[in-house]
Amino acid sequence: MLQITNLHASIDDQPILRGIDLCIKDGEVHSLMGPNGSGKSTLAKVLAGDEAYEITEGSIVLNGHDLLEVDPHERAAAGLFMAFQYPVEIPGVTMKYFLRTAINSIRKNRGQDELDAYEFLSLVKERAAMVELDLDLLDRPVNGGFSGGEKKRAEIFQMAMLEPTACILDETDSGLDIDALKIVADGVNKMRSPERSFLVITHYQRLLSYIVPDVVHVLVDGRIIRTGDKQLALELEEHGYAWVEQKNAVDA
Amino acid sequence: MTTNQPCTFSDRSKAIAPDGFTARRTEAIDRFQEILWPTMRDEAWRYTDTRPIASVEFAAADPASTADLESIAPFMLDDDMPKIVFVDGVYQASCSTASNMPGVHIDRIANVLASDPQRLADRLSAHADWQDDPASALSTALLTDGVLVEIEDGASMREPLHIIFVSQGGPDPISVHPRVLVVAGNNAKGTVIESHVGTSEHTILTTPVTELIAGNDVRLDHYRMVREGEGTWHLGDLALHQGSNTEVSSCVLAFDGPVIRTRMRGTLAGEHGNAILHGLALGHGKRHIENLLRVNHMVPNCRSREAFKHVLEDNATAAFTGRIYVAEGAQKTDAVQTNRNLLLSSTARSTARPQLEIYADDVKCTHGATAGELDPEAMFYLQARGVPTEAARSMLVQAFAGEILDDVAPASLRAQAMMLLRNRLPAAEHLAVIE
Amino acid sequence: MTTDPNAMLDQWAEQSDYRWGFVTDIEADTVPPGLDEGVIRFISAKKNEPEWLLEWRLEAYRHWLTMDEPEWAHFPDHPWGPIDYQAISYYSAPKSDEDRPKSLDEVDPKLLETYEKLGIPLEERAALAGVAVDAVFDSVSVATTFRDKLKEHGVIFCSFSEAVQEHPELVKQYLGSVVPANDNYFAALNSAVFTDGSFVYIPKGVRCPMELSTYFRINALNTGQFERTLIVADDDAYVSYLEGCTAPMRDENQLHAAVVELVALENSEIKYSTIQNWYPGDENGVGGIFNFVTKRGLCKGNHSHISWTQVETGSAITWKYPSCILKGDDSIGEFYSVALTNMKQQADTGTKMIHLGKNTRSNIVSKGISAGHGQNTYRGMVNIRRGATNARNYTQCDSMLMGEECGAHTFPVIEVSNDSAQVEHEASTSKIGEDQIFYCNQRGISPEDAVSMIVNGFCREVLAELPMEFAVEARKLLEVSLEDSVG
Repeated sequence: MLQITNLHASIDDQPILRGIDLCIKDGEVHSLMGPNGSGKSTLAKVLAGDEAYEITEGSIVLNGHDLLEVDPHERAAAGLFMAFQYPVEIPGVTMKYFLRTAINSIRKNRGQDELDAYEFLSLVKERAAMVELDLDLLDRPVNGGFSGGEKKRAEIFQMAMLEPTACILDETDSGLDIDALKIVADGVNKMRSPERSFLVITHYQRLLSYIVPDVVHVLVDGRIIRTGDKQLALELEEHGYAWVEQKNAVDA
Repeated sequence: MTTNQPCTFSDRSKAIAPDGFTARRTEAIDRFQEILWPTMRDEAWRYTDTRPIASVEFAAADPASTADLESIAPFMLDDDMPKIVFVDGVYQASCSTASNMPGVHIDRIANVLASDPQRLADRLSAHADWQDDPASALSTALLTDGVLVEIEDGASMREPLHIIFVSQGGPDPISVHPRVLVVAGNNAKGTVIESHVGTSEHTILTTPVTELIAGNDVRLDHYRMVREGEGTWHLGDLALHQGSNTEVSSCVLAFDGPVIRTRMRGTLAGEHGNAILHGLALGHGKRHIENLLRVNHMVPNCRSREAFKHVLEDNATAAFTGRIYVAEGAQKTDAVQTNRNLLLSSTARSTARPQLEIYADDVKCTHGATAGELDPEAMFYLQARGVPTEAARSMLVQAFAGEILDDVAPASLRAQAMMLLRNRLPAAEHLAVIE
Repeated sequence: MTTDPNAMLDQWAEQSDYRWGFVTDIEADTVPPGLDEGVIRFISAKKNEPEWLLEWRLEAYRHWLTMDEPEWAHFPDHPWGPIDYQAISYYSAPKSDEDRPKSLDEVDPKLLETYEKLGIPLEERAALAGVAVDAVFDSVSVATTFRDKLKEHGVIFCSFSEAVQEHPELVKQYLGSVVPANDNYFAALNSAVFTDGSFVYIPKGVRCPMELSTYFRINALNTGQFERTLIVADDDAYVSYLEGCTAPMRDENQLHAAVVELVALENSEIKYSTIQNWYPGDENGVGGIFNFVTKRGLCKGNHSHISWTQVETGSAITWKYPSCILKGDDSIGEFYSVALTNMKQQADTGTKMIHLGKNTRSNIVSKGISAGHGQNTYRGMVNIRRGATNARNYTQCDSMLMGEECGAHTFPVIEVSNDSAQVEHEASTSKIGEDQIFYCNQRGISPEDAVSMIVNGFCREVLAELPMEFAVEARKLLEVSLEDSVG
């Protein structure tokens, strides 16, 4: 379970998140929607531990681990995964080498044995098939010269490899054509399980037709202003974000 | 060095009537006497041999020098562009048309020295690095006149100012020391064009020094066209000093003259400054071109772009030294420097020394240098499309130089430069005129 | 023994009368600190050298006396002060033959410990990798292996002293032919006082059946090391030579001024790889080796090929410019370098590619990493001479900065005197990417591992040029050298 309580975060003394409360139970898929600049991506980065942001208040707890107490790589070991909106390139480091280091770092941190070369490669083949990832990409530098679609698919592939318990997808749909979107969504759906929770951050409803959320939140100006079921996403698509604010005003 | 020439310079410097600049002249001539003309063992002078001028006794120009208007006509730009003309350092009232514009004060340095030297204090020779260079030291020691352009806070020059320095000389070798100082206040805008021109074959040493001082939020463009006569040594100096949120550009077009050596130094002293230094040199015969530049990134968040191109034919030589210096703490510096040499004959020679000196870690600095002939594949492609060899060559040279000339904003200057380039190229009749 | 250089000078002054008598005492194991013709005669006599070699040394010495110590403009005052050449002892040998290690098992355990830390136990390497080891301790060769196998192929691989005795004609022909005795200050000094080193000759048409390797170590207090290496590949020959160095902790600055000469004849290839991790000094810059090396290869024959690969992580100051003279038509010169400076280290390294022959090619890849207060400089020259028709050069020079107090500098010179040349130089400087580290962290990789991974990726093109087992050591070395530099 991922429990976020009264989370405030700022960058250069500029508050971005102004009190987020969010609880994602095991097995649930939540979607976070909001206009540009509302703080969606900030929330993803804060969860993963980006040091550019200062946490001024609140807590993040994943399955009993206080994430704010630990460094980004320990959060990953605790089971948190974030699919980046803009995956960075690392020249000279092959994807395969990178992933094997990642997986074994996490296993070591959890007190598990490291995977040997054979086990690792078997897992790679199995999981690459899940997102229809070309195995040749794994001998290329991390994200180096990947197309937009390949980058996003590689992110989901890494998620499948690392088997996290909480997955944050930061605008994974941006820049994807419909075929790539289906493949990515399909990969995510295959990973849905009773012990794994998802936070799908997106600007558009489109992705949610393929990854059907249990709960939809609307983030505006650093606060969740509305929470509902998947119907809320469709209404948003139709009426826009201003509609939520008006509706909220009327409700109040 | 046992020549009596430093003495001559010293005597000339001391002979200048005392004014507000006398103390600096004295410092500068003392400095010159110390360093004199370096040999090629000096790193900064490794590629320019000063022996031909080291023993020459250069006299001052005749104070009555005048220009033959007809002979300088080809060097002019737009007729109605405000201009100031000097012949061998002597101001020519008859053909100078520039006057003050709203918020812009254009004055002769000689007049300001006489009437209000305070306007020059901490500005004139404050940024040109005369201590390190004999030509610049000499220029400072013998400074008597030149042009001061002051742009008030918030003012814009409504049109470019064209300053023409004609090197004319006479039977005896002379040295002249043109000077330009541009001071742009906050939020100011302006364009200054210098032409250093001449057709005479007399022995002349010219050491022009230009200082551009920009306050904050300034946009300043500067061009220096060099078309000296066959006997003129041109050893120039340029200094840019920029405040915050500024964009200052300077472009040196070294088109004619046996020796054209230009030092450029840009200093980014305020954040979010952008320095653009460009150069294009055309060398043929035994011409020698040298560009030495240094950009100092002293504060964070600045950008600089330096692009220098040399086109070399016959026995021409070119040397480029460019250093990007990033001071400790000048984070987020973004600097790109390129030097490209096009060698069109087997006896032309180029040297490039692109240098990075970096003491801050969060920076993006790159430099690139190339030397070589025209791309054989491009040549082949053009020939396959029916373009004759000569014309294909010319076309590619024009394209090579065009990358610098395209950024020359004043249309009349760009057109003049394009035309000069075209005239230099064989089979020009095949080439479309590019405006 | 006292470690105060002034005290040593005093001691030397007191002994100077005695020294002249000392010259013929070739039973002695060391000479006291100091340098004069007597010391050179002593070294030469000790090594039973022919007269011509003594004369060659003396000529070099006399020339050295007329030369000035170089002062690179960029680092005018290093905090270590000037080098006192009279405080250096120019010859020392292990106490006696009985004390010399007969095999690698007898090697100083401290040295083996260092290898251990780098994950390459020496004896294992020799056995498993089929590497011939010619270990130089102090200045005398002590162990050579795999001799017989090499002999079968006619390959000569021996200490320089042995070569002088057994192959004087080859030594005489090639010694100083690439790096003349008066080439530069440190090369002249080396020529005067070199004590030993390696000699390799690959005969015509022979592909050397194994990688040749030498380990150097500096271990006697105040003993400068002046190795001399000469490698000759005859027509159609091939050899890959590996040089690796390590030094134990020291308090005293030590001078290392080696000379390496490579001669590649027609259609031959020499690959020379170096890993240098001498003691860099402590975090205040105290101690550490001065590494002033002259390395140069001559591509003498047509279609010859010389390739330098180096990983430089050690020494307080490194000045080193492995170069190629591309004299033969169609010859190729290559330089691949990783230089890492941490703490107060200074590395000033690069290459010269002199193109003389037609269709000559050179390729330069330099990767500099600066951390701590380290200063890293690439200094290089590409010179295309008039006759070098169709010459090609490509240079890529990348710097990575880690931390706010280090520096990265690039000073190339490109001289082109032939219009058919194509020369390209590219350089970039950038910070190690915070976004890259964060990305790795998010995937569970610790900051230290992330930095090491990114740095290794940055150096990949160079490391790929190293023989496999050397590449493993190099990667470890980069990791160890960057310990504690992640903020």
